[in-house]
Amino acid sequence: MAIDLSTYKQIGSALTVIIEVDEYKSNSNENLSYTSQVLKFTDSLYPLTVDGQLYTALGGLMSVSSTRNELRSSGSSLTLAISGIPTSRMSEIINSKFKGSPVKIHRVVFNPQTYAVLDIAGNPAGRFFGIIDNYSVEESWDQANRTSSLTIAFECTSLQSMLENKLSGRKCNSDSHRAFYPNDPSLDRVTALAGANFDFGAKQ
Amino acid sequence: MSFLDDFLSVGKSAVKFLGGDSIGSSLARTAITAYALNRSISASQKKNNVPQTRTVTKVSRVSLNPNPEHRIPVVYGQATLTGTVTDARQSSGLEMYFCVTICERTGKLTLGQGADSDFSLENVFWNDNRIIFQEDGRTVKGYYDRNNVFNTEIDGLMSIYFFNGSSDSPKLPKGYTSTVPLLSAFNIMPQWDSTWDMSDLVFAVVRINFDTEKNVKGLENIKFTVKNSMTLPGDCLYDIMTNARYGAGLADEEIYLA
Repeated sequence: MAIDLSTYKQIGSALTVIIEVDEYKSNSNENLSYTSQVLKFTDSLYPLTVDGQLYTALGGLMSVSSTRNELRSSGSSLTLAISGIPTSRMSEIINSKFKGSPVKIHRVVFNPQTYAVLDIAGNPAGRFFGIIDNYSVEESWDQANRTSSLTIAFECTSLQSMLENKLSGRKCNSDSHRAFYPNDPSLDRVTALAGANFDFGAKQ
Repeated sequence: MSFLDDFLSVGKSAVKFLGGDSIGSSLARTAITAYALNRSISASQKKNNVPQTRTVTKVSRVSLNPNPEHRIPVVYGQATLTGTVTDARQSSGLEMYFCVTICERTGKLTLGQGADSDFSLENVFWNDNRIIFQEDGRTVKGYYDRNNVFNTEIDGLMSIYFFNGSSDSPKLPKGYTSTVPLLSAFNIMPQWDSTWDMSDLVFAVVRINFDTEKNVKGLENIKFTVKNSMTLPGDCLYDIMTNARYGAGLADEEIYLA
């Protein structure tokens, strides 16, 4: 949906990212159980509040790879990188399960003076919807300051690519049926029937 | 010595011979015994008038090969399907029950906000002959063949029970009404109990009585014409996009519904 900016003399825009991690470990202590965590951040210089949600400002520490803008919807992949992560957070990154987490990226238009999101139709606009397929962690060593930091790069696959490769449907076997209805034995005998013979008409 | 004395002396000699240990006496005893036995059997058969013929029992070997990798189809509107046999039970030598899974039960109408989708059994075809039921809507009365001739040779030998989405949802075929209570599938299929729900499956239970003279020897080729109340394109698209069991499994917020 097109955004009408004709009445505005100056605007600012930024990308906002939401990652919903179902199994997140905020501490390296293995005795702590996983928790559900929603990560919200933006490449804006200042924090943004969009639809009541506060996004952490990362500025230049966040980068999103380029994508093609096509008339026809198509599946595409995208790389989302976050740098400058302290090495003390390494265990938190490794122990959390990012793979398979949904990712939503929007482009939001705001007032550059106040950083207030413009209240116009279509704002924010969807940019990318998918899941994290894989991720990598790279350490950068700063010789001058004798410190190191981490850069995490998420490889994201779009929903459309996932749907193109998805096969749905319940099969005529016990495992497939019980995946949806664990207590229903209705299809348990299908495998046993394969190759079975019944003497129809014989005295029993 | 009279002639009677001669008879007695001959008889004594014969008895003495048969009771002896010689080869001749042994052979004589065997021959006499066999002859006596033969005469006894012949007399017995004549008395009972038993015909000397052999009987052969005709048995039909039913083999089922359901494909465990077969994906249960989804029907919008109306379609004719063969279904897949997912269970078979032999209650006696002459009676068998088959559970034939036809298709998935779809979601709610009106973009998921309305009533449940409803399936009806429009027709049943057995060996390409259209089945006609008795008044109870379950017992087969006969069939119309390809020349539209009505044949009643299989009257009472088959029963077909249709279920609309679960074992607890029996339904009569289209055009039939009956005051006889409809039974749940687990009260029809042998060795089923209430846990055999056939959740969200449209299926039929077929009872067949063996009769070689009337050529009823198994399930044969059976097809079901089912009709889904979900027919509108929007409802069908929404259903296939949102259903996690057989569709894309998308969330509502990912679909533009305006």
